[in-house]
Amino acid sequence: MKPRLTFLMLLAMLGISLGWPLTLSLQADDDEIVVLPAAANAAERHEVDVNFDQQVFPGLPSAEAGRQRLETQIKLQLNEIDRACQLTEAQRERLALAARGELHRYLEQVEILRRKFEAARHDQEKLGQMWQELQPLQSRQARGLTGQDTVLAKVLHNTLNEEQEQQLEAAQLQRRRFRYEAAIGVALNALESWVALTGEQRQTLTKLLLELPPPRVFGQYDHMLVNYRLANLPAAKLQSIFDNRQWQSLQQQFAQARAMQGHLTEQGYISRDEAASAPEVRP
Amino acid sequence: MLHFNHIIMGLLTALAACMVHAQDAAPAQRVLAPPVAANADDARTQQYVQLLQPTMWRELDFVRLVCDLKPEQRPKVKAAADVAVKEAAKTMLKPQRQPMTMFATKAVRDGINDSLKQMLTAEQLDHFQAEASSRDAATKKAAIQTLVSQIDGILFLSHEQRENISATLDKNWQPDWEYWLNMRQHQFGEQYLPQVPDQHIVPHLTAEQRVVWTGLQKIMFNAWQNNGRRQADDAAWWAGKTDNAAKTKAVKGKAAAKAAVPLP
Repeated sequence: MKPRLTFLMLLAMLGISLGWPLTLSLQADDDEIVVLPAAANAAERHEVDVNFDQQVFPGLPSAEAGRQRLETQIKLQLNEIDRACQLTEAQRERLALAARGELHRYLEQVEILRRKFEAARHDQEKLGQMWQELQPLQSRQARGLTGQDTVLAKVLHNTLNEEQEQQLEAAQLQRRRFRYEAAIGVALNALESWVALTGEQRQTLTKLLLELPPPRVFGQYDHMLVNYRLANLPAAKLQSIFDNRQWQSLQQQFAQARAMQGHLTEQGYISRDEAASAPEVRP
Repeated sequence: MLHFNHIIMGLLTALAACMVHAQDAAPAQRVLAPPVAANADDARTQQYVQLLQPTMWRELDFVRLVCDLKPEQRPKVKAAADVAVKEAAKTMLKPQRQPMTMFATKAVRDGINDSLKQMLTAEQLDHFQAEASSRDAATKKAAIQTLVSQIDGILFLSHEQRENISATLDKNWQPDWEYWLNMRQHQFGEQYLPQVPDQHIVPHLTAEQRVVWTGLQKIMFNAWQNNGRRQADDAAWWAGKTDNAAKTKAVKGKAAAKAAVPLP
């Protein structure tokens, strides 16, 4: 009986302590309208918005500035397409419409995430998940909204005639080669943290890698693709470039690079067919 | 955003320190506990010495590959490298204009290079200097290309613009811009640009490209290099106890792969 009495007393004390502020606020209701909590919420919401915008549009003061920048970027890309294959007025309008749609869809995704972000602002665990959801949006923006896997790319394919497509492909190939060569430089520089290379070895490896076609997708994993390609070059070509000590040291790096296959396939760097064709890489 | 960057820098530094400490197995270099009476500067210097170990081993690996050192030369070069690391660590206690990691890497590299000038034969030195120049040129080219390709991905540069910006950066190259490469390697390059002086970029852009360029976030990246691992035979080789047999061409087959035993 005694424990039950103690429990009831504790319950009563808890009730009083919870009810006390309520009583105070009811008393206060007669005297004044308390607006402070609402102001705090507005300030908090503004801070959440600012934080969110800074993550989605790094370096810009607001989401509006971010939207304007994206619009300009899209315009730059359309100009480039126009420069490469002299679009007709109708083609230009069609592509502009598709690009606007792409931007609209992206901004919609940003708004959906912003609402989720706002709802989760007091829940650290959910906020952590939000950051993960934010990452694809950041990467997509960094890669450009009008890349390989977008509606614009499909519309572009259906809009251009054969000759224009060839002209555009030639212009883009030049850019892709430049980016691929840059990725090779980054990858070999990183490799040299593990294994020193002579100038001749660096040149031979660069030449071997440049014989492979540049990838169609670029992003933060460019140098990993280079490592993957290097690791999957036929051993007969590769082994003779290195001395024994280098070759032994490289095995660990190559094993790690080969293990990236699934991830690189997921990211669109290599197709599933290409992945199946390793170790003879045919990108 | 600034806080986020600081957190990331802190994590990278801590990670580097952990990895460096874990990989440095040589008893002579292991610091078990600082003496109670040692002053704070000594303790910090020792921390920097540990952080600089991968940089030193990266340089020594390069020297080993290109110089064909005789057994009696090796302990002297290794001792000079240890001195270079300690000196670099001491200098790091003073404020520097450059990013700390870039400054430290250069200090270690320069220290080793200076000592090689006194220790190598004329033929060895010529070969080393030619290889070092080739490596510097490759680093410079890679850093410029990676930055220009990143800008290109955002601003859709024309072929001429890519060429012109590359040429300007090449002409005005600063060695500490090497950190542009580190940004890419640490996968920061997708969201942030390095701090590159506007005067090398802006004159080559169109009005619309300039608007986008101005709004892009540019950051200084400062992360410790934590690769540059010691290998199993390093201690004996640098003590002058083993020969250059490993320098023979790689043998085909699984035996070579099985023999891969870098230190953890």
